[in-house]
Amino acid sequence: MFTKKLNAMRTGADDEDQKIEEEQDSFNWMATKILKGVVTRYPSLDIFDEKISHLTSVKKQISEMKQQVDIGWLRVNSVPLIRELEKTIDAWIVAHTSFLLNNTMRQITNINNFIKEVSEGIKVVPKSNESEAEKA
Amino acid sequence: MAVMTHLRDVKMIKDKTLEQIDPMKQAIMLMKKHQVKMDEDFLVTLETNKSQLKDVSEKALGPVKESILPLQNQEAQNIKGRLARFGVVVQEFRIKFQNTLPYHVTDSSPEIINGAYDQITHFYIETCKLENEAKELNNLETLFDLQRSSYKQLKDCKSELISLKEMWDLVALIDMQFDSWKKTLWDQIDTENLT
Repeated sequence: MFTKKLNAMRTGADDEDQKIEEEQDSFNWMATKILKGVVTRYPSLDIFDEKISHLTSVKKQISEMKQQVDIGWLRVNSVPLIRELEKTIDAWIVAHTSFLLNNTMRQITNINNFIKEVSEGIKVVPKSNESEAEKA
Repeated sequence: MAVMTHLRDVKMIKDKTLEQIDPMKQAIMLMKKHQVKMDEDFLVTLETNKSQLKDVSEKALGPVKESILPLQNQEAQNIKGRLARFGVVVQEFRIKFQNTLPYHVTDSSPEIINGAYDQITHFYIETCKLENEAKELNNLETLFDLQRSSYKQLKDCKSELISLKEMWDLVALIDMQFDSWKKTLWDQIDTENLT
């Protein structure tokens, strides 16, 4: 009884192994063609959206800051600080958006290349002996 | 063979690539929402790609596949022969594996242990070679739409090699421990700590 169960478990595990292997193979083919140079593991788009929206709102807050403030007899010019902060925020926004843009563009380029490669590859189809014989 | 490779690629990649079009569209929409400058309208490009991919796939898996079918069947027969021969090789290897490898420990000495490790290493190399060949044949099976062989014997060999290595590590550890105890002089034995 125990041996049977153990064997069943082993067989099940083998089936599972095979499925994983096939999935792995499929991914490997994808990796060499469509996912070449593409980052596949990254946070969801919602998280990107949230982060970029947050950074944009911070940028807006910074741009609305007063350019000069009088504290008693002292006048503080905050323009250089505002500029620096805006630069930093812009860099962070670009970091997020350029990642998405480059990743998507790379994927689109890969799909294009794949379509071209297959279209060229199937242009010349080898003739089979049978069909030649049929023609004769 | 080159055409077959393209057909296999299309078969393996098409569906997953089409599945990825929507997430890519969502990414582009997100970039548009945040006013990211783009050289071209990637949404249109994606749509074009989608329809082109569908067209190419239909052509490849339809008329092209049909036209090479006789050749494919002919080659598939050759591959089936190769698979059968490899199956016999694997089976013979498994029998040799089970007959040769040191599953039982009757005595232990550095020579026996080293001999066991040598055999394990030798069979490990052989198993890896056969695994590579199996992988190559699996590729051919996928290429020619044949049922994929699992070569369970090779997986068993690999897992048994791991167990054997662990077992002989333990044997070696015990053997060395006893060897070091043998060299301890009587007056150096700490009887208080023996229990």
